[in-house]
Amino acid sequence: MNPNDVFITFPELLIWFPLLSGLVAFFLTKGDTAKRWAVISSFITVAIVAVSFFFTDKNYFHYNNVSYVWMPSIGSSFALMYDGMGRMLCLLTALAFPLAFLTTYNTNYAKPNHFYGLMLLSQTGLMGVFCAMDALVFYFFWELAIIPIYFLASLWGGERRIQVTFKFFVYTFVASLLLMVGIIYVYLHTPDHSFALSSFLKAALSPGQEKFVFWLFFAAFAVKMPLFPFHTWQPDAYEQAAAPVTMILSGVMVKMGVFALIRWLIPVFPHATGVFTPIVIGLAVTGMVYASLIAWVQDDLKRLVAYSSIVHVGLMCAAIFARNQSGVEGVMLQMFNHGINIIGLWIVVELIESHFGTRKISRLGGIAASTPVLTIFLVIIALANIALPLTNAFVGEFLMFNGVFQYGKWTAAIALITIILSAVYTLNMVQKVFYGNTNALTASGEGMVKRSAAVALTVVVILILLLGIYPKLLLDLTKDTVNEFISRVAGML
Amino acid sequence: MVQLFDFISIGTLNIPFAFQVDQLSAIFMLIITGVGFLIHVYSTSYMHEEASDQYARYFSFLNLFVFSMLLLVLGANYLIMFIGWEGVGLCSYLLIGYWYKNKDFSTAGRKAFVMNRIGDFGFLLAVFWMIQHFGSLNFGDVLGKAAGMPLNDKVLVGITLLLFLGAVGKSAQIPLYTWLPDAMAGPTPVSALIHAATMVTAGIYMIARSNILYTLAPVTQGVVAAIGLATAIFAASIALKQNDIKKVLAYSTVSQLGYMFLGLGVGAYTGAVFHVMTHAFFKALLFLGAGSVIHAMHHEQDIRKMGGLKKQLPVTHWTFLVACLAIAGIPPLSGFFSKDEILSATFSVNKIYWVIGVLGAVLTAFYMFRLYATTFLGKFRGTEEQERHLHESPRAMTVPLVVLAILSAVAGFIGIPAVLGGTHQLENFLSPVFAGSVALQHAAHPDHTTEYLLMGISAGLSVLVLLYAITRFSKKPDMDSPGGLGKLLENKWYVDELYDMIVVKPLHRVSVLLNNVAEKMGIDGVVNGVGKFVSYGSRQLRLLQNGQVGVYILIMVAALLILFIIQLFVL
Amino acid sequence: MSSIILSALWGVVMMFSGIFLKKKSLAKYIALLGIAALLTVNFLEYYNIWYIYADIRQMLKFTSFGQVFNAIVFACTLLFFLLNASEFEAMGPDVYEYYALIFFVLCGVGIAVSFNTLLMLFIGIEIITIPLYILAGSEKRNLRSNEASIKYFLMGVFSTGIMLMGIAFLYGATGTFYIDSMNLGVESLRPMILIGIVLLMVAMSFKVSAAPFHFWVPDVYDGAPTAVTSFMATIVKVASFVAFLHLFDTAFGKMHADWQLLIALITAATLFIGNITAVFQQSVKRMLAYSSVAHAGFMMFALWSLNTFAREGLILYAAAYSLATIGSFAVLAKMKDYSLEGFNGLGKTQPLLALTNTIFLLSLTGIPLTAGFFAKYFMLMGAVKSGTHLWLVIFAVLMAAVSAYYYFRVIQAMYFKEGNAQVTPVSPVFRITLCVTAALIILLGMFPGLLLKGLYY
Repeated sequence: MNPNDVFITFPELLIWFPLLSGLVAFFLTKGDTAKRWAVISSFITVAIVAVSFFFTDKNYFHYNNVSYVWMPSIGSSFALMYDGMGRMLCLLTALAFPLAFLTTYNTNYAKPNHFYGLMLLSQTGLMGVFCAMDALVFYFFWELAIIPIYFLASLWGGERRIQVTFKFFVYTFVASLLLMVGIIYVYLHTPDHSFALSSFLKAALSPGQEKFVFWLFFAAFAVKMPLFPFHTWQPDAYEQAAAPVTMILSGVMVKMGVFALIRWLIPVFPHATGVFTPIVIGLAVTGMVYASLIAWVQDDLKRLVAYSSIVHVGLMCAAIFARNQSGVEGVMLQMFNHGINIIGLWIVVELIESHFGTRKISRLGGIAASTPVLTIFLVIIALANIALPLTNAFVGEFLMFNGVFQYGKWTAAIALITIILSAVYTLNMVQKVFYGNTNALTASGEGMVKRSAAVALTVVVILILLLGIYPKLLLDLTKDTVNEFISRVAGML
Repeated sequence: MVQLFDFISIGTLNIPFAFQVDQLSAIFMLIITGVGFLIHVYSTSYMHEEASDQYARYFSFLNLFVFSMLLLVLGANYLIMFIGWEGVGLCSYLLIGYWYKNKDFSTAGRKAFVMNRIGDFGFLLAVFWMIQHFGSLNFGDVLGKAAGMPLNDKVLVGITLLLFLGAVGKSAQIPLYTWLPDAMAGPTPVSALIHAATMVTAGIYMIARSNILYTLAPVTQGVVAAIGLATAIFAASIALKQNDIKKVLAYSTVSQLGYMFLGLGVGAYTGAVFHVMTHAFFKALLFLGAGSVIHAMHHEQDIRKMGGLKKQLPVTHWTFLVACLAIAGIPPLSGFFSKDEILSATFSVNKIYWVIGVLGAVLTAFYMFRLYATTFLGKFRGTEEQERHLHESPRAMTVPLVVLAILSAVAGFIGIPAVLGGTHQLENFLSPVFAGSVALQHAAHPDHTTEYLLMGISAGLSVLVLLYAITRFSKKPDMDSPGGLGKLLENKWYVDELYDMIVVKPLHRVSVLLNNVAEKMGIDGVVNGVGKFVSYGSRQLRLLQNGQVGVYILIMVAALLILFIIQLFVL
Repeated sequence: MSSIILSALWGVVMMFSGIFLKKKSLAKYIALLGIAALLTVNFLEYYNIWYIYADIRQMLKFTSFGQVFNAIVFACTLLFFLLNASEFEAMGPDVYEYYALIFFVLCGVGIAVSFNTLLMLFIGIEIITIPLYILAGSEKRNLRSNEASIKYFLMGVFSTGIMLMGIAFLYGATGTFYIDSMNLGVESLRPMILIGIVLLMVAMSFKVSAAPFHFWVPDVYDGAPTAVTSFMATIVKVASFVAFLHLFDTAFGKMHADWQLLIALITAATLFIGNITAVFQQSVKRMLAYSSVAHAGFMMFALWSLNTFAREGLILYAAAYSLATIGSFAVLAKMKDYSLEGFNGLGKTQPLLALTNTIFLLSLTGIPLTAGFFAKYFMLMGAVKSGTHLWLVIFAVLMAAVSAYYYFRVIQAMYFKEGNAQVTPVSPVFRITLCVTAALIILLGMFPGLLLKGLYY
């Protein structure tokens, strides 16, 4: 098997296909064509990823790795790699889009060709980030992923969407620029003046230098995740954006930050990581408790889910920095699981909002009586959100908490308080929105769950239960990445 | 042990999805499936008023519960146990809030789940600690490795205390018991199965399973015994003044659970398990009987409106009486044997505890027979309408009652202690499970004479109080609102209000504060502030460009001079 | 050499065509012909196929750097002509003269880029700016155009004086005008040399609109006709930068450590004033003027770092910045209302204009996939490589983030706000050229190597 045998590698395919289909979508102005095109295209992307799972063996190296000469004068090549963690995240990215499209199949967005075109273009950026093996390529896609989202969130959504999205964009942009400076700095200290990840890992940075550049990198990732206290853009942005956009933002884009910690931050800055771990874990755990408390008093469903997301991501961050096998395996699981679960929550919220016209918990109530079908789905998804055993989130969170416990007993105890708090606010929401009597607003639930949305929900629920009972599927998939990471961090403080 | 598949296998940690059946789990399995079956049969009739899809929903939840409970007792490691543990918590939540249209009912379900979660917090921390210290969660590994550890090792004390926290939540002990009385909002068969016979006993099972850990941590055992005893007395006191038939039974359950923990705390593991079994029988019977009464009274639950029901509800009456005798510990019914085993073990460890324990038993007899007399004896105090509808329940409901009554009566005979000439078959059956602990404990058994004396005292007192209660309450039931201490008891010592005031409301206020101040003004304020600062800076800066050439040139010259100075003199 | 001669010649040709040809619309064709000729001649010279040789005693030196730069300038001017043809005709009656003046400026650019003596630098810079004094005031009936011209003249003359003073000091201290053989090592004359350097630095900073010598820019750019502003903001500024870099690199490179701090201060001030003031602007034209100051700040990094990355970066930045600015000014010129509100809803009324304008603005912000990204990237690489004063780099990056604010405000107006943006009629040639410009930006954004390879031929 040599490079010449392979027509096109999987990562390339995953980048080019959404790009091309997105560009095509811009020209499909008639009626529903763009929408249908987008759905089909997203399904094909899932199929591509599914097929790639059969080519994971080492013999198929050249199907999964590629490197083109790009700018040899500065030592950057267009290098992509498709390993366990990348594969899983690409699967998540691929899955998120059909789910988003199906849920809102019956919503008619103004200028659908632009909407669906932009959505598909954003998929390109995301895929690129997860496969990049060269720092310049990584940065390229990191920024590129945001541009379509900027337009999507500004053109379609709530009333305050323009200001809110702009704030989100500028906040992220500032952090990304700092990342750029950091990348340049590390590049200049690599032994072979190259942007490749392998070179970055061998960069000769003194501890003092490491400590400085660590924060340049970490700024970008912390804002993306988001990590307390860099999170204030998120609840507004999630609240104002249109449902499919929020699904992609919280389901996939968030993982960009978590992924980057594992791939680009910790291995490159071993010394600094050791020094700053207590600070980062402290921030993460504080954020978890903080966001849980705030989620409790939210009246807006979308904001509640947004704050809930901050809690989950905080745990992921803490578990990564704890740097032990259990924690990292948990993060691997949870990157996927959280994506699925939170998309599930958004689907429910979207259905409620589009049918009843409001997201305010105080105005809803008794939906269980009018839509028993939706209630069942919601309850399962909500239980996944609070990590009930036999749901997918349980294993991930169990392993992550275990990882944090091995770092510090009291830290883990504080973090674990959030399982109590999450039960409080989630069940509070479920009770206020679904139980009780219907009021004038919620009396009729006829036709709320359209068939396409039901399909999306079913997929989510199946994944929740399947991965809850048999998490081995994901654990095996990402084993190579985890082992490599653990061996690399073995010597750290 | 049967392994199904690899659940979690990372590095050195291996947690399979595996089951094991031993004597302890066998006993519990029998209780779960046996009592569960009877309650299923009962439910077919009790729930017949529900619409068909709701009827189906009830049974699906009920069976999900049985699944979870079996998972709990059959698990071969602490993780599978935890899965079952949370599963039963979930089903409890679903079933308490079964009639979801009622906001109060769903609130009760939520309260149960949250309090359970507080306990789970402890359980999980214990599990993580176990992983860290023992490297595995399999019972064989953990309990085996623990056997060699020194007494009161810090790790063991920590783990056992945390596990106990889990049990406190699940089995409704002080301070996490308030959810159980509220859980009476659910259908009565649910109360019978979950909140009497099975779920609440999960904590006992867990500690019994981990008995070696507890025996090696006497400090924790002391805590367990103390809390168990305190709960037993405290709950009994509240039951004295309750007027809702189910609430009396609820507090009674909390109290009896306290006895079980007392048993565990003094090392009487077999006794505790024995009491679990007998309690399952007579408490389920009591609840089902109450259900029968409620059914006959058309959903009336206040005992002050009942009375003299023994005529119209004969089967219910006689089975209820049997259960009351059993719970009061009157020989030769089952309750006597199990409770007595616990009490005699307590006597060997701490005589004061024994005194309080007997006091509790006496109170038990009192409030149970108060309940009995008020409900079944005397004159009927309800409305005409209700009187006309009084009738015995259908066969599907009464047959289980009879079966349970028989069991309540004779179940004690498998545990006849040596002192009374028996061989205590239960103890022998369970001995492999508790062998380690028994070997380590040197609790002296009181000699036979003392034992007879103890039994006699407790049984005798119970009989006296029972007769007193019957005579007093059949003639003049507790109708008016009590004052003073009575009021305190009736209002459950205002514990719920206390929790609300100390925990819930302040926490809520903190959250609101965080939301409004820290979030909106604080952090976001800083972020927005940066933007505002830039805008302000811009507004001021542009004034520099005032259009006058002369000013421009002046600034340029000044800058030139400054550059000169810096270049020539500073550098 | 050939391009210098040809551009001067063609300027004369244009003037005479103005006498003989009555129709104004023919001017642009002659101008395009001239540019095409210039490109050809440059191409021939680059590949050593044919060029004019004159013995100028090494006063001018022609390197591949200069030739690549010339090619960029001519290409951008070509696009500039295509995009602004109708603007030229609308400016005033003397269309041929305007084109002629532009060609003279190009001649000056050629000199300024390849100078080897200080006198040639002076000549080149003057040839560049004097026609611009006239061009800035082309709209004779517009008071603001007149004001722009006068202000430019007054302040330009002032800076010329400073430049001459600096040249005099250096000549006095080193005894030569030739920059490649200047002996700056005499210790006793050090103050004199330093004064000379500072004076030249100030004069050049004026020309490239670095702060605090930039005050002429907002008024002049705002008052001059938009087409002229477009030319001034791009070709002229960039050429001046190349001259600036060439001077300080070749002549004063050895004393880099001495004047590096001053450059840092100027850079910081430029970045700060340029970006922050632009935030408040309501007129897009004025905003673009300040934005050009901000970009000057970024280009100053080349002087600050003075390494290979810097040089490559400057070429890239020149190309990216010129293309993007010419493009956005071209779109601006077609708008009836220059304020932000005037752009409201352009996405709906003129989708092509809005789309290409977005690409231009994204390039100016430095978003990947556009040339502007790599331009900034190379500049930053050069800056970080120089090792010292990393705070300046962080500061620059933060200011770049601020720039996102005012560029994106235009994008927001075009797409997200409701409005009825009006434009003057737009020809198909215009549209095609816009697309070509945008395509070039994206092409360079993906493969910047195409341009950089030329440097090392």
